[in-house]
Amino acid sequence: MLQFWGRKLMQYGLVLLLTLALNFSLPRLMPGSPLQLLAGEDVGLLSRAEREEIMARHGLDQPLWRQFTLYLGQLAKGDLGYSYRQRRPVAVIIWERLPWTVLLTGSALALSALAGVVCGTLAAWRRGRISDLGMLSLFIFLDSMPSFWLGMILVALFGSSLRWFPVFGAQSPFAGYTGWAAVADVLHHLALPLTTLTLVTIAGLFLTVRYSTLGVLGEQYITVARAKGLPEGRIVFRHVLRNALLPVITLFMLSLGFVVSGATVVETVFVWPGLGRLMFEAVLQRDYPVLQAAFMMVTVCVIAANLAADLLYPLADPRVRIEGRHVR
Amino acid sequence: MNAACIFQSMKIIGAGRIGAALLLLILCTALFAPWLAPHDPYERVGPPFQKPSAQHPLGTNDIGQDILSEIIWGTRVSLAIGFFAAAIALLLGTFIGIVSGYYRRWLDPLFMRLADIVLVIPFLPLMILLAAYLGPRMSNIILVIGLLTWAGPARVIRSQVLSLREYGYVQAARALGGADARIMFRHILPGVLPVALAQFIRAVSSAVLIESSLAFLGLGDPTAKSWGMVLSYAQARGAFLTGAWLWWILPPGLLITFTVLAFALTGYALEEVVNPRLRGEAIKNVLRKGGGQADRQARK
Amino acid sequence: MNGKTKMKGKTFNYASTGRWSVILLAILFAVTLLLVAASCSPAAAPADDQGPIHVRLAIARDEGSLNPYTYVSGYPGHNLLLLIYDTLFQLDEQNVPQPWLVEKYQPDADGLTWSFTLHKGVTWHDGTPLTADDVKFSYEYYRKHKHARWTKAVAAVESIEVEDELNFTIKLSDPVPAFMMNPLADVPIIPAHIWRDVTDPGSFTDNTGSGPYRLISHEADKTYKLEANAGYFRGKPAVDEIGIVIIEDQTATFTALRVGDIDIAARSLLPELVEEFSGTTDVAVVTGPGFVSTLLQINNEREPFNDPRVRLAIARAIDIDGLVETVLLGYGTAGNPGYLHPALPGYKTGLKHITDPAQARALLEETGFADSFGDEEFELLVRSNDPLRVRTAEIIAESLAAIGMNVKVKALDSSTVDSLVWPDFDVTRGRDYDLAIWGWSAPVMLDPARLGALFHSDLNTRGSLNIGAYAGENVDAMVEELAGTIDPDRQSKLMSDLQSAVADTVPFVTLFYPDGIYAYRPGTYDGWVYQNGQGILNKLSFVPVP
Repeated sequence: MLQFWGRKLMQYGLVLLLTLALNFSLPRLMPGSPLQLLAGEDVGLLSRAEREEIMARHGLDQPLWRQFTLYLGQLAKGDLGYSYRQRRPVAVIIWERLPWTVLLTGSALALSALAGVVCGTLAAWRRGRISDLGMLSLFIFLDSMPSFWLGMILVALFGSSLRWFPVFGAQSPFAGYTGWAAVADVLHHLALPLTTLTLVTIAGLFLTVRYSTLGVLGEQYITVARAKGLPEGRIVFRHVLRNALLPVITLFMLSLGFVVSGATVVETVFVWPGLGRLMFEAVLQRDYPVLQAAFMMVTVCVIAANLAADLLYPLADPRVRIEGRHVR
Repeated sequence: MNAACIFQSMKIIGAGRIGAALLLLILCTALFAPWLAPHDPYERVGPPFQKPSAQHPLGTNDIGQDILSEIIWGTRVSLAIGFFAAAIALLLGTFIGIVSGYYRRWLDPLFMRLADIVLVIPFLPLMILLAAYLGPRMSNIILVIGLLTWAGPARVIRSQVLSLREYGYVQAARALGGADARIMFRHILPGVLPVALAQFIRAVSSAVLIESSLAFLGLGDPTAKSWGMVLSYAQARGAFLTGAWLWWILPPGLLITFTVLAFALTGYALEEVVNPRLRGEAIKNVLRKGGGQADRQARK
Repeated sequence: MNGKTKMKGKTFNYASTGRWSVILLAILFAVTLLLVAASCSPAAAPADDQGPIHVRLAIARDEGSLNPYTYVSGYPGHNLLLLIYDTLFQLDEQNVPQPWLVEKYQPDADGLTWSFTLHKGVTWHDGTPLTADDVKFSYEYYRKHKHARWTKAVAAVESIEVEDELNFTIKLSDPVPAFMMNPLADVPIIPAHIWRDVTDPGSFTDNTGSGPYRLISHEADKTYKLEANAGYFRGKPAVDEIGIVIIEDQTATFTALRVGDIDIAARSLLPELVEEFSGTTDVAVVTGPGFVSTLLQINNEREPFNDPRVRLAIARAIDIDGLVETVLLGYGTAGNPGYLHPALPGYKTGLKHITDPAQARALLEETGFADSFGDEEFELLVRSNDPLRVRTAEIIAESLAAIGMNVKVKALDSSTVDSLVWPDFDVTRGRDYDLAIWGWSAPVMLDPARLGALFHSDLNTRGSLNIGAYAGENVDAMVEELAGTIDPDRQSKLMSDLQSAVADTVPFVTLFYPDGIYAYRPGTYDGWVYQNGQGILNKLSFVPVP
C-alpha cells in the first residue's frame, strides 16, 4: 500500500512539474511581448536602450532556461511576482479573485450535485416513466446549450428587460452595503450566473447518479432485499443511495479543480470577478506572472483533488481497490 | 444483464432514433447548403442590420450579408470543425487506446499517465493558451480541440481492448506467433471500431460546443462562418441590446443546441447498442479520472 | 401480508415524496431567486438638480493607481489622469492650447526661451501651494525617470530657471513646433514635496495632484472614486463625485448604461446602437469627429509594394466612402489620403481619395506585376478581437481581388499582429507582413512631432513610428524642417506639402476616422463638452475654460 501511495505521489509530482514547465514556456513562445504593458501606450517613442532597460528590469532579457530557474527559485520562496498590467503582487490579485470564483463555481457545483442526486435517483427509480424521460431529455438538452448563449439570454430577459437582476459584476459599486444588505447584494448579483452555470453542469451529475443507481438497482442484494419484503424507502436509502453516491462523491472531488479554475465563459458574460477571466485576460495581454501563478494554483488544486480521489476511492470501495491493483 | 437495463436500453435507443433523425436533417442541410441558402453568405446583398423581411427571413448582418444563408452555410463549417476535431481525437485515442491496452506492461502506464495529464489539466485555460499560441485559424482550432479531447475516448477504447485481448481468437493468433502489429490491426481494431464510432459521435458534439465557446471568447477564426462565429459577431455588434437577438442570436444558438443534442443522443444510443456494458466502463473511467468533466468544463 | 401492504404504501409514499421533492426544489430555487431579486433593486440615480451630482462612469480596464507613472492607457487613462493632475496649458474644444496653470506666458523671438507666470493661489490637494519649483521639479523628474510619453516630450527642455514662487523661464535646446500642446498641455505637474525622494516611480502609488478631482478610493479591477476638489483654483467642478466602474465586456457596459447602473461609458458606442439609444428619453447620444485613424498599412519594403504605383493602385481599388457607410454606418469620416483628419487646422483642403478600379488595373499593368499576381497570395493581417476591423479587411480583400490581387485576410490576436507589424515596438527590428489593418491614436494626429515620425525614413532617429519603412522623396527634409519651424505660416505650408507628398506616394492608405459616439444619461449630468477629435472625457466637461 505504501509503495502504491509513494508511486502515486511521484507520478503526480511529475505531472505538476511538467505542467509548470509547459505553462511557463507556452506564453513566452507566443508571438508578442509584454513590453507595451510594461512601458505604456507610447512605447513606440522609446529609444532602444530604454526598451532594453525595461525588459532587463523584469528579467526578460535572460535566456528562457535562466528565466525558468529564476521563476522556480522565486516560487520556492513563495513569491509569485508582480503583475505587469496591474503592477501589484500577483498573490494579492489571486487572493482577491479566489473567493468570488469559489462562490460562483462552488455553489453551482453544490447546487447541481444536490439536484443531480435527487433527480438522478428519482429518474432511476422511475425508469422509463414520463418523469424519467422528461428529466433525461431536459438535462441533456440543457447540457447541449452553449453556456454563453444561455447566459446572455438570461441577462437580456431578466437583467435588461425585466430588470430583476443586476447585469454585471458581483457587487453594486459604491453602494457601501454592510452586513446582511451586503450579503443580499452579492446573492442578487450571483443569481443569474449561478443559474446559468448550474443549468449547464447538472447533466453530468444527473446522468452519473441515474446510471449508477440503475446499476445498483440491478444488483442481486437489492433483489434479495426486495424479496425479503424490506420497506422500499429503506431499500432506497440504506442500499441504493449509499452505493450509488459513491461515484458521485468521486466526481464531486474531481470537479473541485473546476471550482478553482473558474468558468471563463460565464464570468465573461456576467463580468464576474473570477479567476477564469483573470487567466484569460492574462493570456491575451502576455501578463506572464499572473498567468503562471493562476495556472499553477489551478494545477496544484486539480492535482491535489485527483490525488485525494485516487487515494480515497479504494478506501471507500473495496471492489475498486482490488480491480485497481489488478489493472495497474 | 437484467430486465431494467434492457428496458433502459430500448428507451435510450428510442431517443437515439430521434437523435439520428435530427442528425440526418442537419447533415442534409450541410450537404445541400448551396441549394438551400437563398444567397451567397459572403456576398453583401443588402444594407447592414436589416430586420427580417421576405427577402431576408432572418435579416442581414453587420455588413449586409444574409443571416439565414450564413447559418445554413455555417452548418457545414461547424460540422466540419466538429468532424475533423473528433477525427483527430479519435485517431489519437484509438491508437493510444489499442497500443496501451495491448502492451499492458510498458506502454500502458505511460500512455494512461499521459491521458491523465490531459484530463487533469484545467481544460479551458490550456485551450486558450494553445489557441492564442497557434493563432485563430480554423485548422488550428480543429487541432487544439482534437489534441485536448483524445484522452476520454482513449480510455474507453483501452477498456474494450482489455476485454478483447482475452477472446479466443486473439489469444489463438498470439499463440500462433502472429506479429503484434498484425494482431492489433487485423484482430483488435475491428472489434474496437464500433466503440470508436460511438465515441466519435460524442466527440463531434463536444467539439461543436467547444468551438462556439472559443468563438465567443474571441479565439475563433473571424473569417470563417461557423455558428459560433455568427453568434460572436452578433454579440459584438450589439444584437443583445436591440431586438436583433431574436433573429440573429436565437437561431444559431438553437442550431448548436440541437446539433449537439442530436449527436449526443445518437452517441448514447450507439454506445448502448454496441456494448451496453461499456457505458458502465466509460462512466467508471470518467469517475476515476474526471474525463467527462474535462470537456464539460470547456463549455463553462 | 402486513409486509405487502406496507410495501405498497411505502412505494406510494416514496413516489409522492419524490414528486414533492422535485416541486419543492423548484419552488425553493424560484423563491430564492425572487427573494433576492426583491431584496435590493438598485437605487435610481438622483435626478433632481438640487442635490450633489454623482456621475458613474464605466471604463474597460483598471488604470493602475492613476498617477503619471502608473496610469495604463492613452485613452481613457491619460484623460482620467488629467482630472487629478494639471498641466500648464489646456487644450480647448478646438484643441487650441490655452493657459491653464499659467496666467501669462511670453516666448522670445526664436521660440527658445519662454517665460511664464503661474496662476496665484493654486494648491495641491494636501493644501501645499503649487509653485514654480514644482514645475521645474516635474520636468526634471520626467527627464530623469524614463516614461514613454513624458520623457520624450520634455527632451528639448534644456533648463528651467525659477525666479520666484510664480515666475519661471524654460530654455529649449531646439525649437519645438507645438510646444504649448506638447509638452505644456500634455505633461502633468507633480508635487515636488511628495515625489522628491521617490526613486522607483513605477511602484509609487501616491495621487496627490492639483486637478479638479482627487482620487479618494481605488479598489483594483473594480472601482475608483473621484471627489471634486472644492478649492480648485478655477472654481468648484460641476460634478461632485465621479464613480468609475470597470466593466470589461462591451455588451454588459451598454446594458448597464441602459438600465441606469452607470451614467456614461468611456468606450465609444457602436454605430448600430445610436438609433436604439437616442430613441429613449433616459439616454442621450453625442457624436463628433474622432482623431483615431484606421489605415491599410503597407509594407513598403516588400515586393511589389516597394513600387509606389502598386501602392497607389491599392488605394484606387478601395472604396473608402463605401467602407464608412458599410462598416461605420456613416459614423465616421472618409480618410484624407494625406493622413490628417479634415477637422484639423493643418488639413490640406482639396486632397480627395479617388476610387477608380480601372485606373488601379492600368497602374498594375504599367508596373508589369499584374501578370504574376495570379499566382501570388498576399496576407492582410488584422486583429481578431476587433470585428469592425475584420470586416474592413474582408471588404478590402474583395476590392483588391477585383483588380487581380489575391489577398487573404489573416486574423490574429492583437499582440501577434503587433509582433509581426512592429516587432518589439521598434521599427529598426524589421517587419514581417504584406498588408495590415492598423491605426494610430489621437495624439499621433495632433502633434506634428509625432506626425513626422510616421514618415521619416531614418528609422533609427526620427522615423520611430514608420512601421512600413516608407521612404518618400523630399519627405525627410519636410519632416526635419517641420520639427524646427515655429512660424505658423511656414508650418502650415510644410504641413500641406507633406500631405500632398504622402497622398502621391501612399505609404499606407488612410481608410477612415471613426466618429466618437458617446452615450450618457442626461438626467444625471448634461454638461459634457465634446473636445474635437478626442471625446467628452476631459477637464472641459467639468471645469469651464476661461
